Amino acid sequence: MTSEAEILAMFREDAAEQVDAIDRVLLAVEQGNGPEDAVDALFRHAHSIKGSAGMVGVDDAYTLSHSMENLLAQARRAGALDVALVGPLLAASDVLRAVVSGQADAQVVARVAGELDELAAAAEAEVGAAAEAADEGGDAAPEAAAPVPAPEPEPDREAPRAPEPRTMRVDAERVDRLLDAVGEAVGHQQRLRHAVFSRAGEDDEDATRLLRDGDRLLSDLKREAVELRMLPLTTITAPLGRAVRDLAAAEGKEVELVVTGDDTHLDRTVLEGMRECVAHLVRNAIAHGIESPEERQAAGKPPVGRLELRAEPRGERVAIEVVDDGRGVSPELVARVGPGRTLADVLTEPGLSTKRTVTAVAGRGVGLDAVRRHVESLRGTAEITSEPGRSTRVSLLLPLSLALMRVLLVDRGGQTFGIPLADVEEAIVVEDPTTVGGARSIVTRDGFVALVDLVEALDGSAPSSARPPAVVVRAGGERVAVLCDEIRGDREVLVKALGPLLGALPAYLGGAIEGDGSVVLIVGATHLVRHRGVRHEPSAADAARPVTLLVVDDQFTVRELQRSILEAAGFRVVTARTGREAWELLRGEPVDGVVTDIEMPEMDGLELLRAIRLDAGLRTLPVVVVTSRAGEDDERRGLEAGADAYIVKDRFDQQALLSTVRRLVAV
Amino acid sequence: MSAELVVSVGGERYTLAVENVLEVTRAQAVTPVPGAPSTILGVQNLRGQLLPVLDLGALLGHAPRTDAPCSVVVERPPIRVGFAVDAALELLDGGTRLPMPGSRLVPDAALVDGAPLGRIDVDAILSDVTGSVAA
Repeated sequence: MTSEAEILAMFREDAAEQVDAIDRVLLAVEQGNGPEDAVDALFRHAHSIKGSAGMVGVDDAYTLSHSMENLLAQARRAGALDVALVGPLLAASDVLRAVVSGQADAQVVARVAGELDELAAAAEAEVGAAAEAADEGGDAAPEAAAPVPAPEPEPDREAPRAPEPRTMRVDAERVDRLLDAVGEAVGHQQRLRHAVFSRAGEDDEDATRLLRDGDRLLSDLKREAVELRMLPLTTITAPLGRAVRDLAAAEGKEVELVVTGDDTHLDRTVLEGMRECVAHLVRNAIAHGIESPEERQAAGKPPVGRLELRAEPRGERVAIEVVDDGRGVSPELVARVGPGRTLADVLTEPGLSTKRTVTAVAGRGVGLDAVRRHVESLRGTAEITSEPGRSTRVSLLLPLSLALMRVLLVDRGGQTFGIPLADVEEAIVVEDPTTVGGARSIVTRDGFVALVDLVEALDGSAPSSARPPAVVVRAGGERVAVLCDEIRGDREVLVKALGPLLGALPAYLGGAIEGDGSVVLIVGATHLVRHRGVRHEPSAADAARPVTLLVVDDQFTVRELQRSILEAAGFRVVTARTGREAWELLRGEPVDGVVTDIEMPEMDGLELLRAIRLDAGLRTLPVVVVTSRAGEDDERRGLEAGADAYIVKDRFDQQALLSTVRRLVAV
Repeated sequence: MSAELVVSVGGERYTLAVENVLEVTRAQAVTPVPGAPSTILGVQNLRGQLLPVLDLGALLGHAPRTDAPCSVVVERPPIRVGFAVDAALELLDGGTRLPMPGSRLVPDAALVDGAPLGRIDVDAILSDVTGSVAA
């Protein structure tokens, strides 16, 4: 039995998607590249929201979508959507989004609906007049800047429709449980094989055939279950068009967003975290990369900047690239790139991101280290290239799926570990290591490669063997040869999370359960590459000053709750009750990150955020916005104002807060 | 006072609030996790999910161990862990409480046949471990 609350939640989710779709079409129309059936598509979305709003009784959504539908009906009659109507329709879709997410302001709804109705009435008059003018053969056709042709208006029931894809909504956790069950079944099959062979012997043809059939069925089942977790990139790119438009307008810049390959599918877990990252890169590109129209023309560039978001599958990975044709990274920073030091390294060096003035001049690096850390936590890599004065390209290479992975199993110190096969270049035997630049290295056909002992990379120790085998691993453009005792071969495994407790260890991507029930830890290539030759010891200065967070909230309970969670996790916490208090505190005391509410007296969270982003000394400070309002509009406003992450109180859980803060603040 | 589970760790008996306990599992292989604090023995396969196993004795100041003859699975969302103990003994229902103001991890004790059994504060233990991993 579906409860009323569940039905309402389904309506909200569905209507929010429709509103996003409306935005997308409107923006395309505004840029003169709207789809041929733009008017019909918009009409359909508005109509569909109206229908379901009526059913679940969300009256404001009904009223507003009804007015939008009315206006669009006039556009249908006119045969095109006047570009002048895009603005009012976008404004209406904003309000509709707020209504859908449960923040109805009846007055605003009534006003916006009234405005749409007036426009509809005017359009009706105009269409009548135009029809008369056309009868006279005159040239007084409606003067739309870029009219979008619409097909003859036809009654809905006769309109040819593309077959709707049959879909159903399933709780993501149930998909994960299905995957777990499949993993168990695979393990069981391995135990079964063992039991059968030990009784019947390997030449029992019937048993062998039955087991082989079972393998095939299970592998089909596993693949299907894994694909259930895949979502298209449009899930995160869809709201970007709108954000780019508004952000560019706020910055006084002109930006054309070109999205390609957003039908590429990625694991849900990978995708969820990429939303913030991509928004961050896009914001950086508009705020710091792309120049003002005047500056661009002076540099001999077209006044409209081009921002490209591309996605494409590359083998077992997906590449997501954000490319802008702006001013690029400053030549001084590009000059710092050298052997073993990529541009991504230079731009995410701790020294750089804390020297805020340098970062400001560089115009990049703002939150880039956080993006990179996050991508790496997903077993991905980040690469940055830039042509000073011409362009910047950030490429994120991500795994297709986090659940299913081919790993190379290796033994070291009596324990078996897995290394993602996608990161393995070759297996070699280490004959006579030499020392290059202070690091033990070996020569391979591609040059010198530093050696790292697997067990030492994991902060353990074990006696080493003579002529040990090694696995050459590559990540982020760097290579390292990982010493082990024995290489056992590759296997496809289901990767399980280590959980909130052990998930904080950077070395591991997770664990896999073997057929015999034992656990194999999966080691990330990024960790191995980073570990080569250096053992990181926290400096005395680091130890002396614990990472300090500023918690801003006008409610005592919320403030104290956050303080206790963060303090329990080892942070030092200072608090403020309003944005103003926080602002004064920030100017007097070094703080490493801010966790702030939005709605507060005196100075609200968004104002605080803007003030921070405008301050030369504070602009790179990580800021997490926490609010009770679960509206996408708020999230967008928060992220546009420069928030690094956004947490909703209703979904408030300790782990979300902690993992977000840890991700943003280097600890 | 709600029911408590009596466990034996490092030659002493302690109690854990039953409301925190999901189940008790018998001897199972523990895979060590290099790099983790020494109070984390490793991970266990708990019906297809990975369960971190903590050395409860070491956390309480007893000698560290390497095996987990018995794990008491404890959940405080979002964290679920196993406490390695020598044995889970019996259920205890209420009784006299002796406050132990100086002790953070064992805030009070129950008197059973004249012997005090320290009640382990699961939250305090977990926050210690969480802190040691994050550090």
